[in-house]
Amino acid sequence: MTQNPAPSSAPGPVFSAISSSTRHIYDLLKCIGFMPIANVSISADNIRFSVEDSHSMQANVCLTPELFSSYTYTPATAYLEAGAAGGAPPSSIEQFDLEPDENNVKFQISLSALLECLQIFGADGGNNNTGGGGGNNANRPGGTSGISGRDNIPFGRQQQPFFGNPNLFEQNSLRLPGTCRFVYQGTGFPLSIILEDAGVTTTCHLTTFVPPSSIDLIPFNRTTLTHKIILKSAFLHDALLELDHLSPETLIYSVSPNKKPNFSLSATGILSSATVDFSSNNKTVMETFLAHEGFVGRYKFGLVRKAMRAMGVASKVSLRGDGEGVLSMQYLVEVGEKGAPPTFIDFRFLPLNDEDEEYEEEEEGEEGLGGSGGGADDYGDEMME
Amino acid sequence: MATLQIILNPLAVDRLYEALTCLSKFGDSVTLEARRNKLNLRTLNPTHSAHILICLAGDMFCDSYNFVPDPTRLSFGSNGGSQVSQRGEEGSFKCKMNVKALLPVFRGRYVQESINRERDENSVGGIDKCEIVLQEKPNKGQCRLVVKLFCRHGIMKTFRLQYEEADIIHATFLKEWGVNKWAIRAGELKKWMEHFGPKTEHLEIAPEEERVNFTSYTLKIIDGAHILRTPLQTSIELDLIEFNEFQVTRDTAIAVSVKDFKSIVTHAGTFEHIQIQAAYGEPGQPMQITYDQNGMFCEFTLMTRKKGATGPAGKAEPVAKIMSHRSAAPGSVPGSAARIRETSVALKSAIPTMLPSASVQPEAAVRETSRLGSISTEMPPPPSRVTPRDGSVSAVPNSKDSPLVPVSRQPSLSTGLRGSLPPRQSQSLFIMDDDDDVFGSSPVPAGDEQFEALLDDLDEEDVLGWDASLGSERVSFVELQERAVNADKGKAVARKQGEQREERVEESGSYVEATQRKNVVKGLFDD
Repeated sequence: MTQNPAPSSAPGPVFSAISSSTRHIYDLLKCIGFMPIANVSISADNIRFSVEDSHSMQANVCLTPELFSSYTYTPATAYLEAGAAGGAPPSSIEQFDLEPDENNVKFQISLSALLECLQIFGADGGNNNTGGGGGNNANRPGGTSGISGRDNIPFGRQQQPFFGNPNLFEQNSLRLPGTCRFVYQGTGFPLSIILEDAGVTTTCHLTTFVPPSSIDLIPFNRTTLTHKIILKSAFLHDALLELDHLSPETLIYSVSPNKKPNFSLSATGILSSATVDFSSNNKTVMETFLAHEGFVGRYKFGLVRKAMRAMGVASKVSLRGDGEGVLSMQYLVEVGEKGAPPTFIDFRFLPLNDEDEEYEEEEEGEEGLGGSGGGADDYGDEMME
Repeated sequence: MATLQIILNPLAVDRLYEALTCLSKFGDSVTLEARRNKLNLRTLNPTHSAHILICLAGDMFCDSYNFVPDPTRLSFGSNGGSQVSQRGEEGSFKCKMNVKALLPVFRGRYVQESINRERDENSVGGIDKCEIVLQEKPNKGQCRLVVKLFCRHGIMKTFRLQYEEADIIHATFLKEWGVNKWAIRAGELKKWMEHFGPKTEHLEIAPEEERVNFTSYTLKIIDGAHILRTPLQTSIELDLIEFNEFQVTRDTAIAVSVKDFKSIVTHAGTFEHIQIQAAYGEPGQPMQITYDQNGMFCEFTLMTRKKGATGPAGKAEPVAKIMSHRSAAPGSVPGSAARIRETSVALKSAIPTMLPSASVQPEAAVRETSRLGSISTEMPPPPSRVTPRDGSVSAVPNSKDSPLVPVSRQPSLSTGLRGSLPPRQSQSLFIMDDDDDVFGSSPVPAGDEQFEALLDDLDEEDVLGWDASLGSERVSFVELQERAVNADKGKAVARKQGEQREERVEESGSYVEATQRKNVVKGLFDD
């Protein structure tokens, strides 16, 4: 958060969006808040925040214009970057466009600072369920699940039990909603967040950084898709929580189309090993189960664990694997009022090397992109630092 | 290859979890012993002052229980003795596991049926049944205890737990020791437990007229200018009317660890309407607490402190101890056994209209520091050396008669005179090498047969040696931890103790050396 005044002689803002509540934005961004720096890409369709860890997992959140009461993107004034990565893999069937678009405005930003700014707005306080599907499941009173829009009867706040963590900002959620404006004026300018609340205006200028020359997505080859599973996110969360007790190194993820169990997650800890098996027959848990061939992937548990916050918040998750073993998890998060279009959080994981490799070689980075041949060559190793 | 298959319902899994939680408060590992019709879980705490046995009945506790012992192992009993192998015919499977690996497996498995249909569909917790199977493939190096949890919505969670071979350790508790008995509803006791602060160490249970006084206290420990532990004392008086049974010799005040006692009561409190039964003898003899419900039988054997806790009596007088021990050589103990039991105070005699009363009187009494002003003098008095000077008698374990209760005891606990305490044989839970001379010089408890008869399940007991490092200077576990935390201070303490030992040697003229090697000791666990 910098307080430097914005450079003068600014052209019209490239991007400006207004929202009356930052809570859902905060909740969504918090799901990928495990890394301090995020890449931001703004287009007419969405504003995308992406983070990556150890060059082997990436997470993206796309904030769609529906989340804002006003959303303007004027690329004409943007300084178009040259030399962005080319060769985007086939993508258009995605529910939201993740693939790099050279015309987008891109910059890097401190995600932790951004989250802190949004917190000023009281995003973290109270139990503002109407705000969005965020927060930790366990902290919700009355066992409300993280899926919002279900029982958001606007009870007076005083009717809710005074639940742990009494927040100083509690009152903020009672007052008339203020507005929150995101303004970005172009390359070299900070991202300004202007919070207006009953005559008090807080302006945060977040320094933007020049993005790396190419922001590479972990390639996910949809043509070699091996399986697609859609299940309730809570069950995946529960399964990983179970495995997490063992403090394992590796998550083994296996899908088999024919023999039971159809889908299982297992991990081995120091003292024990555990497996959670899902049956594809139960529609309560598993909405969709499509498997063309067997799939066994090994992933670093520590990285998958970082998706657990999203798991807790989301209502459904789509799991897909491609021929190279890349695992894609897409979480559907219902935010805002009932009927509002859902938001997606996307995670991609590179697999660990095959079994024949020595365990010692499972170090971070080693698994790198080695396993992903073919179309992945274009992406090389020029991931951002 | 032994086969073991247990099926538990969710409620039993929850009970098992509570039991494991309780065990985890005592030690890190739990020993499983599968027998034909029951599963025993045991834990011995690191200082060997508490032993917990939780027995799950195969028929009542489990929905299904099937154990077939390994036929190949029956031929050679682990102890080799003919008697053992004969008795080992029943066969058992023993293994040791880390309780921390077990806890998450059984945690939170019982979820009450939800009325809300929608919520039920989304609820992830709860299981339908739990199956525990032993997977023993020694050739393939795959020995695991497999726990399968059949969850709702067709989800199955499988845990493969590693185990290691283990020997079973029994706690010694002779029925005769349990001369003092009381029984109380667990819920009643649980209500008062929270008053005993977490920092207090010992809990004294002393009967008074029509009341029982539970006092938690901490001994003040001073190391030079630093006060390591400040004394805190909390007393709760329970009217005898609260007890379902109360038969305690007057003035028999025993002290156990508050933490252990609280853990037990907390666990007992998880049952509905359960009655805790306690049996004990004199201070320094073990205390046994038992309760059972729905096929789960819990037995806690705790070592009691040698000395009453009232007032400055908690202070140890090492020199006096050693000298008195010397004078307690065989022959000096009068043979005439006085065994008139004090009239017990039974609840039935209590006036029913008496209102239950309990008073909490927190009181911080600064106790005088010990003469030597160092830690060890403030340490709990060692459990074995007592003064027989006043000529009172000891309860000798080899007497086949009913237990001996000294009557010559003055009601002068508060005076803290060690001489007023009755002497006794060492009857600690487990043999300690410091007691070598006691065991060596006095006749070995007559008749192993008697011991055998008294201790059921005593087939493959193991001799449990006392760690010499612990035994040489009796240091409570808490203090050990303290040392670990503060290494420098710990060194200082050790030095001090060393010096003090020197001092003791000087003062008592000669330091009593062990008269027998540890490995030739005939102990309580010897066959």
